[in-house]
Amino acid sequence: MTAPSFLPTEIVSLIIQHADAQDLKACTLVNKQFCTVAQPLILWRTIHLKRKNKRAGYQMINQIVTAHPSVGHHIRHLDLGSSYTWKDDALLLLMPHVRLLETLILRNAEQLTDVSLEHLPRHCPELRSLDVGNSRITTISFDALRQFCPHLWQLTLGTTTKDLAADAFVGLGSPCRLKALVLNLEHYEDDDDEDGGGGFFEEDDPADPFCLTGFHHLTHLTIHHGPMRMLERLFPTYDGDDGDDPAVARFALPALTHLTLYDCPNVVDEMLVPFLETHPDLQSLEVYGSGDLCDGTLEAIAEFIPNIRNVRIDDNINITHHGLRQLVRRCRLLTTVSCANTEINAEEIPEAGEHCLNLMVSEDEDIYLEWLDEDAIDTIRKDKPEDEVNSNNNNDADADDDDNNDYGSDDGYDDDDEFDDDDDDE
Amino acid sequence: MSNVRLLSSDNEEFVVQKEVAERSVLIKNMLEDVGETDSAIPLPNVTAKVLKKVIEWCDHHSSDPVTTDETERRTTDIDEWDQKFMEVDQETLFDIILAANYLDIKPLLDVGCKTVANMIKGKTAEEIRKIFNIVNDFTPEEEAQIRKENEWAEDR
Repeated sequence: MTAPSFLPTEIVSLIIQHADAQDLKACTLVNKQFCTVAQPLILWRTIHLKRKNKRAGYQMINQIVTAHPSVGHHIRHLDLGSSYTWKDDALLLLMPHVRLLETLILRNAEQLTDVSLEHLPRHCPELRSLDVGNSRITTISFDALRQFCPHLWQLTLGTTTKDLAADAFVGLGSPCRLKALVLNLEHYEDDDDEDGGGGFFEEDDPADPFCLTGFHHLTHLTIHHGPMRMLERLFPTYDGDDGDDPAVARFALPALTHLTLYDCPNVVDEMLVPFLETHPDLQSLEVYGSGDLCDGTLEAIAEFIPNIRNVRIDDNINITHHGLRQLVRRCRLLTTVSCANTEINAEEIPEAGEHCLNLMVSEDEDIYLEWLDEDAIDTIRKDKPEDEVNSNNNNDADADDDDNNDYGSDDGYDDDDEFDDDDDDE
Repeated sequence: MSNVRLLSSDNEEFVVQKEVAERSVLIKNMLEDVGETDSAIPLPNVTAKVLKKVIEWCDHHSSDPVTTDETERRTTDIDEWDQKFMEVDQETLFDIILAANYLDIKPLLDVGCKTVANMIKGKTAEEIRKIFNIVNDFTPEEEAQIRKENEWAEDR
């Protein structure tokens, strides 16, 4: 037992079971013995069926369930693609065989209910990320997730029905441990407009299913097609019916660093500004797909979230280049701004390089700005004094005070203190 | 508390408490089969040096609950004492793993394998070969073929 050059295959197998995907790849190239052991692990660990074949998903499950020796315990990531229609019996059959599953994506899940979903957490306690798609999941399954899946941090929910009960998220517990929540509510939009909230959103119901109080650990929130009532709840305005008390928003999501609103109609400055004021730790804000924001939001970002790193405001056609410039100058950690379809003329921001522009236009059309990269942002910051003296005097009148502050701290980087003071005063 | 005598491959005798020795499923089964015995149990696959280490581990973990749940065993990280215990030269580490396998001490085998897995973390194939002291038995063509086959596998 001196030279380990003859490590039995069975032990090599035990060792590389602990290896991650990258290490497995390296292991396949070590020698033939390692390759024999590592290769099947690579194949099994991530199942991502992209085939259009409807039978593929069924066959895959069959294989996992009947394989001998069992292969299911190697599987960490499972996604049978959108051509496979999940049903309760199939999921029930599969779950005892995939005990170490960490990521499960149920794309076509309209027919899935708590009958199977309720048992999933007990069988797969290692789940970290779960996409239950448009399943009919209710609070019973959320409760099981809270109980059995201590590592679950990411939940994606897309839903086509109104099955989600008013207390749906209660099962996740309060405070909820989730760090990332994706809500794809594409099909709610129309229903909500027509019904005026009846049935699904009870008027003034405190147990609104999408009332996100108690999500104290949530850092990433993504909402696709959020219905108006949900957005009103999440972003109460000072003078709106729901939002007389700005405290509702103040502690709503204390850990939030990334907020993405995709195609959420009617999100306006008045809703977002109080939210931004109470969430100074945001690092990324993306509001795109529908365009009702104005420069007020950008001003609020600069005012309340000086440490923001990423801003995406595509499709908000009311944003102006003045607002953009202010944002870039005042937020010193900003590295990218995406602003496609905002109709900011490239000539207004000459600092942006060619790769920042949308050049796919015919000759007589105007060229618009697509995004600002780090170089463009740096240039805008440097150009500032000249810019101000030359052309922007009239436009910057309303923001003069802030500008002066900025100048004073150009060398010292003391902006944070100043902004903090501002916050306290209010 | 009765004692058990164990004889290493190089004929060194160790006297250990029965409870400690029974961390090894192999020894436990032997004792059950043979019953009370005064003669030393020969372990022809384990040297004195390695057996000493293995006994040290069993002694420290003699009062651990026996976990049968595979999931639980797999996911718990290496505790501090075990980490220190495993700070040995590579040859000894592999010997401990082989001994744990032979003596059927699953938790020790597991800690050993995890320690080695941590050693190969982030390493290239060539670096892994060095660790295991093995030669590349692929032809360049075979190697290229494997690379190509695994191109799709996501780097996460």
